[in-house]
Amino acid sequence: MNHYVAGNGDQQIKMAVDISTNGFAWTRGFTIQEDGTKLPIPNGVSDATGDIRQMSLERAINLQRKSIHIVTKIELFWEDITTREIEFKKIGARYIFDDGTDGHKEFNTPDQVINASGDFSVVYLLMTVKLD
Amino acid sequence: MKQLTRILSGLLILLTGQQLYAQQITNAEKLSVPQSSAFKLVDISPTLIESPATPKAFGLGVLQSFSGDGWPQNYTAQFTPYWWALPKGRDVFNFIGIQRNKNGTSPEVWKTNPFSALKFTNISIAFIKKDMVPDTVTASQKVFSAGFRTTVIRAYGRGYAERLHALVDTLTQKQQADILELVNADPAYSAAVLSGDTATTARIIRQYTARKNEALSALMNRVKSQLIEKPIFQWDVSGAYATYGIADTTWKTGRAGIWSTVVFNTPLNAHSAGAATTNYLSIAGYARYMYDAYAIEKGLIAHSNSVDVGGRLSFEFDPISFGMEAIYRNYAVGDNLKSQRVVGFVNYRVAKDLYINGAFGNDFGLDKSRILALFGVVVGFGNEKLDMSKLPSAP
Repeated sequence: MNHYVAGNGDQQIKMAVDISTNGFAWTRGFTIQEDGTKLPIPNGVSDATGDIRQMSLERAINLQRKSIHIVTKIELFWEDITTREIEFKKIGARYIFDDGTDGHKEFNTPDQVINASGDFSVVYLLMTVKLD
Repeated sequence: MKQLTRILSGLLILLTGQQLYAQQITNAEKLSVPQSSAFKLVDISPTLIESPATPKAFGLGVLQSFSGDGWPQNYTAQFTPYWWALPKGRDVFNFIGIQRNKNGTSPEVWKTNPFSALKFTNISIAFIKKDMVPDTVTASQKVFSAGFRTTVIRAYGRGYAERLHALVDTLTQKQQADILELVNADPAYSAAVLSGDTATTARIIRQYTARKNEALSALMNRVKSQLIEKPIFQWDVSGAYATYGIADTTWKTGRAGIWSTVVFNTPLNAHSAGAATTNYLSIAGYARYMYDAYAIEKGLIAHSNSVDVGGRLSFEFDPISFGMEAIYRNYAVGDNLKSQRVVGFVNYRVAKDLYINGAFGNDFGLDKSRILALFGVVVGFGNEKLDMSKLPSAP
């Protein structure tokens, strides 16, 4: 599990997501509490690039023991499966957290890259970061 | 030269290795033979004038098997380096050539970048066995050819970018809702995420994806149709170089050429109810300069330059397209080498990206009774055609 020490201050923790792909990509962020309660992050949505510009999550103290779960759906829209497979292998992702006790921290590898359709046309990236 | 042959054969094997894997995927892929600049230089194409769409990562064509001496016969491979590039900040808008401009609080405006297709510059090589020397001996030569093709300018009609903008905005709303639905689709999802149970999250996501959202799929297909809409104007430039193996021991420059095509596409069906344009009248102009080391002047082999000028008129009424191209070739030496090529062609789309095509008419050469009669099955990207079937006999 990826960790980010947010601390117990009043400052806002910031997050950004940078997806690199030539396909259409959409990203959405969620907070998940320890009991499994899951809530979409307001403004934690991307346009068709999959990128989320740096945004405030919440006050650090309110994020203690919560997890940030980030889902990216990518549509590789080329008819040729060889091209789609090449694009699948090129997908990149950066998850960036700021202003916590850990300061600036980047995670460059998603937890999971799932070829959901089996033919590289629909791909999901999943990333979860536990905040302490 | 044997070493060169070994190097070139190795390169071909390297380039085609991944494509051979791809060809196991579908029978249709096995039948696909792409157009390539390396082929066009030596006139191995039923039609010479084309307006290519976005090239695939790999293209491979085999017209005949290897010859007895181990030299591949009529074999071409294409490679588009962009597909392997990893530029920073790459995203779908850079890929499709859309610039998004936002001024203050005013709505975002989308525009197309007319030079965005330059990045798809395509490199091709070909191994050919053909009689390229116009002497009395009918023996074929080994020919190695290498070429490139690029789209310099691609301009879309008024409203194209805004139609795409509206579609992609709607698609984004639907896809965001779909992600929300996905994470709530199975009560076990959150627990699996928190415990790091990747097998369960992958299973849930695959099951969710298998339950196809028809409305979302239809919208995605509508976006894809918009993306392959033809530009109203396109300017392509290609070049190639061919070397001939003479008597198995000597390799000499055979031909070198550069050519250009400009295409105007007029939509024939209006954008009623947001439908994609599928019918066009296309008019193309074509010019080629070629150096040919094996022309004839007064009965003797001589170096010469030639200029091709031609045009193409075609109608596309999805799923059928037909038209005609005419090219006039003028050699600097040997008036008797002046000749024309007039070819009619028809393509019929029998399934998505699967076409039957035919070409008929007079090829270059002195024997004007020659008729090309080419029919085959081809595979294309989107609505474009990659028309190639059987090799015409040498002019």
